[in-house]
Amino acid sequence: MILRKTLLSRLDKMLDEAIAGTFQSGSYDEKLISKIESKTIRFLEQSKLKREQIEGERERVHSLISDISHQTKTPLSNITLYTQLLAEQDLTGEQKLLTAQISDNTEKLDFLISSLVKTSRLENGIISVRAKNGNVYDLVSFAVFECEKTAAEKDITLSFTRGENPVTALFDIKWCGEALVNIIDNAVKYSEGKSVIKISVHEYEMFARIDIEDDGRGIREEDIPKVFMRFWRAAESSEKPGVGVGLFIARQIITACGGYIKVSSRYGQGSVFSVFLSKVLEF
Amino acid sequence: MGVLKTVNLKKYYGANAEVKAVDGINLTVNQGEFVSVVGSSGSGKSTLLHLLGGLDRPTDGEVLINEQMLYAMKDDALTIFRRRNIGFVFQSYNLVPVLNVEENILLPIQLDGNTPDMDFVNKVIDTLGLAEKRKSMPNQLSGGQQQRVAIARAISAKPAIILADEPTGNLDSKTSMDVMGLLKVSGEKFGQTIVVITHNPEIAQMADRTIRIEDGRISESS
Repeated sequence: MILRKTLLSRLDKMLDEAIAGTFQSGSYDEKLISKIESKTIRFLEQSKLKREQIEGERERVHSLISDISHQTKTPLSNITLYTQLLAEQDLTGEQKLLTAQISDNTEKLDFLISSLVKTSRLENGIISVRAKNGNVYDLVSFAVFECEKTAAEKDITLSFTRGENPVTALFDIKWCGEALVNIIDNAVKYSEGKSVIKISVHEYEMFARIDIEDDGRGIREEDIPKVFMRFWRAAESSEKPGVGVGLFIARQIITACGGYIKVSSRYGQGSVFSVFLSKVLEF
Repeated sequence: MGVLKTVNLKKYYGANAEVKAVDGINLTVNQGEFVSVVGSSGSGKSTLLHLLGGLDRPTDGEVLINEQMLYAMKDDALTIFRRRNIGFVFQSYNLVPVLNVEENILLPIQLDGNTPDMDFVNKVIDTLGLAEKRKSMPNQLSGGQQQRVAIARAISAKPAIILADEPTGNLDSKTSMDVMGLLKVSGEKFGQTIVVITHNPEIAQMADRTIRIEDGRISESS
């Protein structure tokens, strides 16, 4: 009975070590426990091997994507160049139209490929997003400045007031700036001309929250969970330019910084995108 | 793969089954998902959560957690299974008042006779912003902080799934966002599967997926 108890507690300890990844075989002899130890080691090695295979596969997918992006770059810029040369020729009206179509689509393709590469790198942790403590108002000012031109083209006002006291949170100004730009651009794209997009900052104990509020077309309730999916676009937005990666990338970035994005929307009345940046998490 | 699955789950009350609190629910929750269940009071969402967590026996149907049938188990076995596989977060924080924050977090692990994985527990404590409150007693903490301890306690035991029943029911709206944000962020960070029951649409919006319950049935799932 005592023997059984020691055996069982040895087994329990072995498994604890196996979970912690520190397991080593104690002794090699003819005892049953030694046999079990050897088998445990074999089992652990096998699972390690499987894990390594999966890792390897992921690596290969990643290098394939980076190869594709790299190899398409030259032909793509050649197409752009030749299209520009073509456009400078004496062309008839219809030829001009067709050339414009080619250059539009080339641009789209270029954007798509670079977004794909970016998302793949973010997903695989190749790009390290370095979140540092900073003033959220600086981040928002940066993003608003970047978006002002596109907004002005549609006569849309970006309303944002800097608070007097700084609101600190963890973010990477370059990446989180891009995330915010994507969200604001999206709001601009789906808002009517002459409308106002309100951007505000709120502070919580653990998070800082940035709201981007538009009175655009809004999102159907059943579509809300889908807006952050890669390549997803609402059925009725096919006439708008875009490929459906902006919000996806935004979410990837904010998650990498230890925050999250939430959206609330009423169809036909506009949407509020809320970006929550963590104040304490160190990733 | 589904961590949690229900098969035609039913819970009727009354002699002639006149109250159908849960009336044939089929649901699958995948590994790492954050799912919210919404519904007005009396819609059957709390009964559903109790059934999912093995706290109540159904009239008919089955709940599977990691392919294990909950209600095929005897009560004693179910209690142990629950302790090892399901983490609960309730509206009332249920902290032990005579234990400090760290002791409260470690309690379920030690109850099961296990040595806590302190590296992991420390990460959870940091993530939930409790590093400085480690040695504080529950009555020295605000409501939001107490709920954060309850969340840390649930995650630290590495359960297959965390079930949260109105976790912000006692908190003001500002603190609610904090607590839910931390639940979401830490769920993502530690790959934890979470089901939250709430009547608050603002909280439900934070989930990857929302399931709406009406009269004991799923009325809508997105």
